Amino acid sequence: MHGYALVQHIKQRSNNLLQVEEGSLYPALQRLLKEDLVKAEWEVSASNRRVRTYRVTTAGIKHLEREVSRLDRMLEGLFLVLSTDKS
Amino acid sequence: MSWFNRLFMRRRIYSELSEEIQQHLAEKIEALMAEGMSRDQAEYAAKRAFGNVTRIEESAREAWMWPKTESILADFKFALRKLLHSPGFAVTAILTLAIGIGTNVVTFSMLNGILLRPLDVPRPESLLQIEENESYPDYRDYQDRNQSFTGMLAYKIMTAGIGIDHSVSTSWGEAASGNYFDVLGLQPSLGHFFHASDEHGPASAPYIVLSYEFWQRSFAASPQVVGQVVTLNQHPFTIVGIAPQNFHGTDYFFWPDYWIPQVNAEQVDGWEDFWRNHRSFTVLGRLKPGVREQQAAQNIEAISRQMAKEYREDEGLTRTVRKPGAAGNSDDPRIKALFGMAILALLILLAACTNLASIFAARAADRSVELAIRLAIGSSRWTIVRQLLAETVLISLIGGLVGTLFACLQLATLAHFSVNDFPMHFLIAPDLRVYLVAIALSAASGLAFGILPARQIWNTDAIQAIKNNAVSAGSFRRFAVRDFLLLIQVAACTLLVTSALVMVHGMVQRLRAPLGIVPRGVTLARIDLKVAGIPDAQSRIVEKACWTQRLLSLE
Repeated sequence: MHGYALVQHIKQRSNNLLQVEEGSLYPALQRLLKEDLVKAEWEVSASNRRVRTYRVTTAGIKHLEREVSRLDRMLEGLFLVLSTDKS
Repeated sequence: MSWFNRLFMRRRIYSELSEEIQQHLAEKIEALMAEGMSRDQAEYAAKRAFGNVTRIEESAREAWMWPKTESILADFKFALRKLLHSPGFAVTAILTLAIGIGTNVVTFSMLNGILLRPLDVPRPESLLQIEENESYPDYRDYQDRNQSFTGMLAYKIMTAGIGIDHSVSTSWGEAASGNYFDVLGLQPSLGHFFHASDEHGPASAPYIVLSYEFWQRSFAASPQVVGQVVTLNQHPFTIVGIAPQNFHGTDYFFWPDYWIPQVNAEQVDGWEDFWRNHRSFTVLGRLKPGVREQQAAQNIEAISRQMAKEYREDEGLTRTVRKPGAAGNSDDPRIKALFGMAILALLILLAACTNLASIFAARAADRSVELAIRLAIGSSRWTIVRQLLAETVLISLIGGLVGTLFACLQLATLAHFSVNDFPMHFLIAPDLRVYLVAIALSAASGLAFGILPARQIWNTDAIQAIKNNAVSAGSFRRFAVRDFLLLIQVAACTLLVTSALVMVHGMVQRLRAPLGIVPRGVTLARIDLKVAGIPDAQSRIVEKACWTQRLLSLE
């Protein structure tokens, strides 16, 4: 998926809840590239446009799993704290 | 991707990033236009949604940088540009420091070459020298009676006419005890050495070992030289070997051309070495493992006292040991002069550095408005100080480099300094140690004295500085510092000029010292018939006759 598509994807999947400044995606992508968590290739898109497509590497998948489980725990914690506050 | 590849691929990475962002914007604009916006509206909306393109590109690039290193590099680049803008300041500062560093490199090289450099023999630290010259019989007694040394050697400097293929030239060599090379632990670079076992009484070992340089110079490094015969004052000697390349004897200035066994010296130079009061030999000993210098000194002292009792010629003799060469002889006036010179050189550096600090302080004061503006628009003090320091370090390194270059040129001339045909050499070519000292001196002086203006900046109040114009910012303190610098500078320079004048005055006095004769119109001549193989006693008679004849004919 290329940068623009990624932005659209995030918007659609989050029902427009996550509105990021589109540009801020790029520094993040460069950092991922540097850490070899994603790799990038120039391809021609369906709309016949030269785009740079990113793919997650194996290392990237592992890293993602770790981060997701960390986020899950954090959310779980947050949820617990908030629910006890209500009661 | 390794960091090394990345460094060179950065340009590509950056251009790909730019292209990618442009593509993103184009795609967005197209999408917006498809929703019914005009091109202008779409462009505007796309850019708003994207954010500041330049800033985002920069922060994306940062992922690939080493921010610390690169900002330091940028500091240096900026400093270089600043210096190029004010060449007058740069040249003054660099030359000031070059003089300071240059003089120090010269004196330190000399100290290094004369005092710090060990002898080029295996385990030089276990060699000790008897403090004063001894006679050959006394040497034999030390050798036989001591318990501290595995071996002791003796040598004296000699001069003779050396005949190679029927052409005779003056030469300087050493007459050494047979065990000379064995005690020093050397291996020949060609052939073999002479040994104690070769000596069987006077004139029993007509062997000669050539120094590597002499072999190169006089025999074009021919490997067939071993076994050839040369003559010393017309006496034949067989070349048995060539000394190692870096071995120049155990004296620091005198580099012998060759070594012959002492038992054969008398026939060459006519001196009878078997007199106990003929003290012309330097005696060195190789310490036994585990024996300390102190013990060896006591041992030698005891033997010398013993000999003083036994032999009339040795009456009152007490000897001790010291490290060989100039390093062991702290009373040597040459060493003292060298230390004096080193102190003067450090003073020159101090004067140069204080001068540098004043120049820098003045420059910082000149730039105080610029610096204040930079402070006011949000630059951190540390950034400004770091930038000034970069300038200082740059100047000190360039100054140090220029100074070291000058010093090397001067040292090269000094190294070729010689007196007539005497093979005197100063091994004072700068080595790694000298270069390290030069770098350390320049960096240290740059940092120490460049930090002074940095301190002013630290104390600058930006608002005050802009309001009050250039000069007054933190001026009270600065003038105090500058006055102090000036004071040091004047004091150091007065001292330097005075000592330079005293030295020159002393030299002139020496040249004018009364000789007891009037040297005007006098020509100095030397006749040495021993070179032609005529024995000493006879040659003296002939020489006398020659002179009388000549003098008579002059009248």
